[in-house]
Amino acid sequence: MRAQKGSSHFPLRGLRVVELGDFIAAPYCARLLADAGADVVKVEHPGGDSARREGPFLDDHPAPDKSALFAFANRGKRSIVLDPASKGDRDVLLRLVGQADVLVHDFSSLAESPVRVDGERLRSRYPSLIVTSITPFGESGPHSQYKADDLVSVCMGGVAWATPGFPDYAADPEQEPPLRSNAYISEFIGGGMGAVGTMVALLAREMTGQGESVEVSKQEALACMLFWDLAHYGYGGEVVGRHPVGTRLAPNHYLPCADGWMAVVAFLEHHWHSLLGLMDSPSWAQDPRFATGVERGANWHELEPLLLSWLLNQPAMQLFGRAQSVGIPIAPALSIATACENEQAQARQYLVPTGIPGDAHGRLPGNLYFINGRRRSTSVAVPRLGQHTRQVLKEWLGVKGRES
Amino acid sequence: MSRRTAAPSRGSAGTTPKPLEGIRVVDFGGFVAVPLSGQWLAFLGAEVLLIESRVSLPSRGFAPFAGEPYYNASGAFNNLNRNKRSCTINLRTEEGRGLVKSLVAVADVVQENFSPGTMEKLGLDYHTLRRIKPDIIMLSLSACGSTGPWRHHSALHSGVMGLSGVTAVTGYEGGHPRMLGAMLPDPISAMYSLFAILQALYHRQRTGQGQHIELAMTEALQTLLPDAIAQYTMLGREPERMGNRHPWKCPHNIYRTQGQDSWIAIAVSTDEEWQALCRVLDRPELAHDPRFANMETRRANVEALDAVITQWTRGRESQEEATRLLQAAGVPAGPANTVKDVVTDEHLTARGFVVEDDHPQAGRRTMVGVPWRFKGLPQPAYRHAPLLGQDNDYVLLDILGLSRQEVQRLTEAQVLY
Repeated sequence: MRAQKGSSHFPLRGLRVVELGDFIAAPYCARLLADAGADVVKVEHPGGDSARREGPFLDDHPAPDKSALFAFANRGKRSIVLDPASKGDRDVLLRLVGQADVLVHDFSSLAESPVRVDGERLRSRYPSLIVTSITPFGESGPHSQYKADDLVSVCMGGVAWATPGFPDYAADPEQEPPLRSNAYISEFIGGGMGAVGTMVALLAREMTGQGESVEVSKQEALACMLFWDLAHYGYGGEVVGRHPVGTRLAPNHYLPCADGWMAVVAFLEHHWHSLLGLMDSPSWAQDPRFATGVERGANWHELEPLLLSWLLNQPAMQLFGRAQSVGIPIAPALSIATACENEQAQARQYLVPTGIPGDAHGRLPGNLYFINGRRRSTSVAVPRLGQHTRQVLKEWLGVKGRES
Repeated sequence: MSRRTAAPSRGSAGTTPKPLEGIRVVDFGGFVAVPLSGQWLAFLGAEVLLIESRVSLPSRGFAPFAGEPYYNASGAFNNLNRNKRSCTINLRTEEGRGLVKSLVAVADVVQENFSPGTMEKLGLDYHTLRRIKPDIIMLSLSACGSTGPWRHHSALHSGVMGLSGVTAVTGYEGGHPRMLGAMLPDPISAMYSLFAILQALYHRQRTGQGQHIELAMTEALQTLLPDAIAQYTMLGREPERMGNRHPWKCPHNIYRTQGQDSWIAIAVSTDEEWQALCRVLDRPELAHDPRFANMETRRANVEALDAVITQWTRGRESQEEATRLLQAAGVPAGPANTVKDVVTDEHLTARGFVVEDDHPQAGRRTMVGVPWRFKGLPQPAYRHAPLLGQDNDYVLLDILGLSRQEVQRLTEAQVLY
């Protein structure tokens, strides 16, 4: 079942992936490979992936096949159940890995996973196999055994201390602690970087014929994105984070309007003059203290109340439309409802059905990529726990009926 | 089938090549997202030619700067454009656009994030470039996408954050929407751009076909929000802003420790972890306190619980001590690292993630490397970001085979500018 018709560019078609992952990061990595056409077999233990127990659930009814979070991270795969306590099942797993091009997992050591063989021995047995691991801190280093969930990862990766971040800031850093979004950011970024690393290894394999071990740490996946904070620290010794930035052009601020909040970006002179036009050229605009972006930044305390007295009467979507029509990059902080239902979202059809049986309304992000002008399609079939055990064992291993 | 266009580097015979050795990228990236994807391509071994011009240098204009001229001194630019080559071609001139076409004829990838329609106006759109190089791979990134009524809308990272809905799930309990830090919309878009380019290279290797990839930053950001989006579309509810609390885990918060603006995260997702936490706090009786017996009762009494934990975290000598004690007991916990903490972190340093850049103008500066470790492939050799136009001779004489006189003339005519 594919939600969107589109290009036939599925570069990984024919590629076999075994996923031994739980919750989001490793499953999302394998999901991205499935989106690119790979045949992904998700190996679950009899209790099932823990994301099956994490909401939101269809009808608010917790059930293993009703989680939208699980659907997003696992659609387009096949699910098989193997019992790590069973020697027979562990042998089956090893034989499946032997048929695969890629193994994606999230164990800090494969020797402690149901595979029970360490990564190097596995790769010497299967020299063209690519083994990708995604863990909180990587496989080596003094913190490799530390435990982390998303909160700990966004903290140790440097993102939480930097939130609320530029152009927002914490007015009082004591009252406004480092902040995590109510979203699994480190999981999705870790999974995305795992997919990138896997593609690098696949490209290298085309040249060398050799497999590879790819290792991604969620902490590094986040920290490699801190260019803004790194630039300020490395080039000025300033630790910015969620503290206000010392010198800045203005306006490049996050400000309230009549019914919400806006990113008000008009520090370039032509943007500023267009904005003054929208404001019907107020008399204070002639003040030399506001003549340039630098002056407006230096005199922001005088300018801010003048700007706010106008802004607080402007409804967000109306101002957004008026500003963009004259080329000013001003944009509102949308509710999730408006982010899902605005005219642009409707035109681009990014969201696709959840694929949860019986769900007529739910939508999830689909495929990001337009290839040659058409959006690449996305499978929205969500595997039930163990739905494909028989099928996969027959197809990959030639096993008819399954003795367990 | 080897279709890579750039010459492999000399002296690499017998050693494992870099994964993108021989791939040539024409990079029109401005600001952050596409420059960063180009930098990752360069770290992986591609030859990345940054095409820029004094007509407008958006990426080189970010403060803070280290000296003069400003365009070689921007901390952000020098963090985002390492291992690239810089060539100054003025796209406003016919001859400049001609030079770009000659480069595309011997390139594998073109990437750009001009506002939608700009490449068409320059006569450098995919359909034109494909006639010059039939298997060219082109990537176009824009704020809201190149189709739809908002295709000409522009936004910085802050606007992308707001339009995607990330701000709606970021904020303190009962408070207004806040901006996620670290300008994440750009690097996240860079990650997805890189993933698409690598897929396209793989596809080309197999089929000989190029392709044009387009993606929108707002949509890239929404991959972080599937649960929030489903909560609204499937259940009709707007998700809540809940500070650092979690829908079911408890305790799950960031707690004050000694020192200025110093904090530690503690996240408990099982009753075993809760009991271990009680032992670390030296309050074993709490494990039997009916207020805190299970997740549900702990959530109901979370204010009292957080007060008990804060009393302990404030009493530790350092974040490190608290983290060590908690992790040793099996409790997920760790410091809210500042950028300074990140680059001095013993773990990240031991893993070789923190690197020292040595730039001819800015000198030695701390930066970070790639988030991938490969056992067999060579790790990147990090090189400083290019000075403006430092590789004009390489690009024009060596790649395009122009004469010195011709380069001289093009420079005087401000085609090379």
